[in-house]
Amino acid sequence: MAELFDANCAVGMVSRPGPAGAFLTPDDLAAHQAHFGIGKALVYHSLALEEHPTAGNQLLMRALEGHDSLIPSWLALPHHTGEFPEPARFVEDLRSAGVRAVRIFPDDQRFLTDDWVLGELFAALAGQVPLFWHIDALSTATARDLYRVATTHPDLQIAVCDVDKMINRTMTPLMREAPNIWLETGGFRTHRGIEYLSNAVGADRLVFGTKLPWQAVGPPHAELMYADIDEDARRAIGASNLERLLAMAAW
Amino acid sequence: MFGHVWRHNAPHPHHHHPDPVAADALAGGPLSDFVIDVHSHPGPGTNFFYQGGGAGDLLRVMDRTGVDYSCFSAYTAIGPDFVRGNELVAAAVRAHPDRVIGFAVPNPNYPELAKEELIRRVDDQGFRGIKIHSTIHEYPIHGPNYIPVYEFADDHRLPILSHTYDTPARIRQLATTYPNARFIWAHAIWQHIRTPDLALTVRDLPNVFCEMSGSGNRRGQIEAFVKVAGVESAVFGSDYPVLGQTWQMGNVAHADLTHDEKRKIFSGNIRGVLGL
Repeated sequence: MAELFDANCAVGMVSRPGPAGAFLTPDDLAAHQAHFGIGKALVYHSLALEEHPTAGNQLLMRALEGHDSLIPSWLALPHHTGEFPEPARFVEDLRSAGVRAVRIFPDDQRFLTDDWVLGELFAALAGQVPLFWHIDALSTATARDLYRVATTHPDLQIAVCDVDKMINRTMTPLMREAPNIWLETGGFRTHRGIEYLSNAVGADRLVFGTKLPWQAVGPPHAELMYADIDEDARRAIGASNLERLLAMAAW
Repeated sequence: MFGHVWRHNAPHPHHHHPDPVAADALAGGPLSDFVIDVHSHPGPGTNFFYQGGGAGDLLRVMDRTGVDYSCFSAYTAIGPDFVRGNELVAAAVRAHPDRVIGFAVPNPNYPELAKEELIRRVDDQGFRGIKIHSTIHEYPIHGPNYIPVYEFADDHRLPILSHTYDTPARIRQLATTYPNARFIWAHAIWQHIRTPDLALTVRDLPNVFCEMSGSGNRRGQIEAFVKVAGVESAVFGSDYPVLGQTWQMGNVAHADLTHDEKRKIFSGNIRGVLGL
């Protein structure tokens, strides 16, 4: 039985969980995902988002020890304030720890993605580690940022995470113009959305995600399972595309 | 039709074995239970794009999901042109009377035309419900132009699907003033987290139902609502194609509820109201 690979989930306590709460341990997270046939997950620590990346990234590595099916991903910040390592050093830290995915939350953590803020980081990650870019919404500014960064750094693989339903008119040309843009489906609740983008830009850059613990798994799971696409495409979106994306990491 | 290769044998999140409806959803197959979607809006997207969206397209999605009936009110009807929208739905009801239930939309900004529309659609064309969208039509649900709508529903014992409920106190006021009408408050279970008084209010109102579609699907929110309001207050509606029917269906199918509770949400609570 093919298993799903979740590209977007967090372990740890959160400030605003839903009624069912958060996953305080990796075992709890993995057990819940297993009910839906999710056998692997690319995980970040909730405190990396809600407290600080330097604390959360360390907590993640300790939490995931011995959990081979939970793959660590680290959050990054701009380095200019001294609160986060310079990009070259950060990439070395990633390499040393064997971490093959980086996330940024520019809207939540309040920074711009212009090159004068993050250009060094993007250059350091390009061709080395894929970037999971979490957005609040595909606003005009965010869409232009994604286009600019993707075209300025064509070797940087960018998975856009936490999208909503209203993205097709912008995401279609964006993914056509920028072959290094990927889409994580956890928030993609558009009518026939997975089917549409699979046909419009190809199923090979869509990756399944859940947004656990904040969101129920049932909705994004059903979006994938009921999408009118062939089974090869469903398996690719469900797991193998993310495997391929992570395999692009240099270590 | 959708014999996917992934046949999960995984249990329901809180049970050792998935109930039939969860098993159907895990496999991506049509739900075997009787399912009514009380909330759908055929038509093209306006402020965003989705593929399809016409009545035929929505019926094809119903075939995949196993939804037996959907209650149609046209997307354009809750927007600029309720007469044209109601006519589109009338055509869909005529073409697919065994799958489509018509909900007539009155725009309160055109009160005389709204009265004529209700009479024509319900009395002459067999529509079985009313849909109001006070947000897009920018008219308060307790405004005077909605009173004839509520009176019509009360006289005809019709359900009214409303996009918003204003406040729990407003729900109580309307439900008790028009006891023969049935009020279905769209998106209300989604909003329950921010308004806990909602569940406490509706549990004592037999002519009030809360529908669960929405853009935020917090883990456990349906279960939390049912725990307070009782399962009899909850109904399934997806708002598709504005949202995905599959998305909302997955939320109920995988909820930590018993199979009997899911059956009530998927159709049992509302079937009689719709005459099915």
